Amino acid sequence: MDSADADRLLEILGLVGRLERMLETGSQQALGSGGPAKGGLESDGLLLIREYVKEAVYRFSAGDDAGSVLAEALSVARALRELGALAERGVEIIRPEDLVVVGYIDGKPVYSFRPGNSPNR
Amino acid sequence: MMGSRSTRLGREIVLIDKEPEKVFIEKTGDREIHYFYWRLDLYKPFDYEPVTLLDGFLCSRYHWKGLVLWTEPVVRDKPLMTFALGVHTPLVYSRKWQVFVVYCLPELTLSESFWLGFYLTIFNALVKGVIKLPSDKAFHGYMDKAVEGKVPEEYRFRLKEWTFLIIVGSLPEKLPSPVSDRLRECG
Repeated sequence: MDSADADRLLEILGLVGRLERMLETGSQQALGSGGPAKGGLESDGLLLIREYVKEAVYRFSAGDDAGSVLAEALSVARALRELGALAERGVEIIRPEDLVVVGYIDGKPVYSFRPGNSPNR
Repeated sequence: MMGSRSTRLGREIVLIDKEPEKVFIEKTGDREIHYFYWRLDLYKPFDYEPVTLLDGFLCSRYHWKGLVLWTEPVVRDKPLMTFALGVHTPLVYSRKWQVFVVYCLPELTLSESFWLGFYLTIFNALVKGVIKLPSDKAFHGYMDKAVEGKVPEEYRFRLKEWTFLIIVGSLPEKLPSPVSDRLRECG
């Protein structure tokens, strides 16, 4: 590992620690004014970024290319920004766990927004 | 009023408002899958976004593990489709923004759960009218960019490997047979 890789590694490790602190404290700085609600979709996104960063660290240390993993982390970060922007405009952030069973098809439960989430329902 | 560029339509499955670099057309039996290809996505070196018809239902893919059925697309000769969310995710103009989810597997991974939640939130924003698809776009065909052939193996649209099904529009009385087959298989 050359010094540039070492710098990137240190930067990533710092980022991991910062993300972990955000998850523990629900830092208001994480996503702008909203902040990640612990147990919410934003929190899941931060956890996901942390997992990708850990994987990237592992790949760096093994001398492998970590570009694709960091790209995934970046896409999650971008999605988090979009979620934060929507939340600020009053949109309820929906997790899969928020859906309710509204019927069955081919013997499988069909989930949808809770009544009241959707004006079309 | 939505405009429509006067291009000669051929075997298009949808009309689009963006300009992919190529459209790969893959034939499997009677089915065609059209892959919209960009060399440079937001963060990825390239991207292939597939659409196909399953028993007459327009179908696309969402973030690898989601199969999306569009049961009530807005049609002007063909269904109208845009590519959204910065990463060219197919988004079909729909007459109803009702959204249903059927799971193939009982538990999602963290990644699957996050991306499904993100997609659901986008639909929630569309339902609430907080975001709106533009109504003044010019939609057009894409056969001038069509290339017959296969896409890289990892980008192929695998109709039997999805983890969750998203239905946008009314819930159909009967699912397309490949979807029903998959649901039976996943137990």
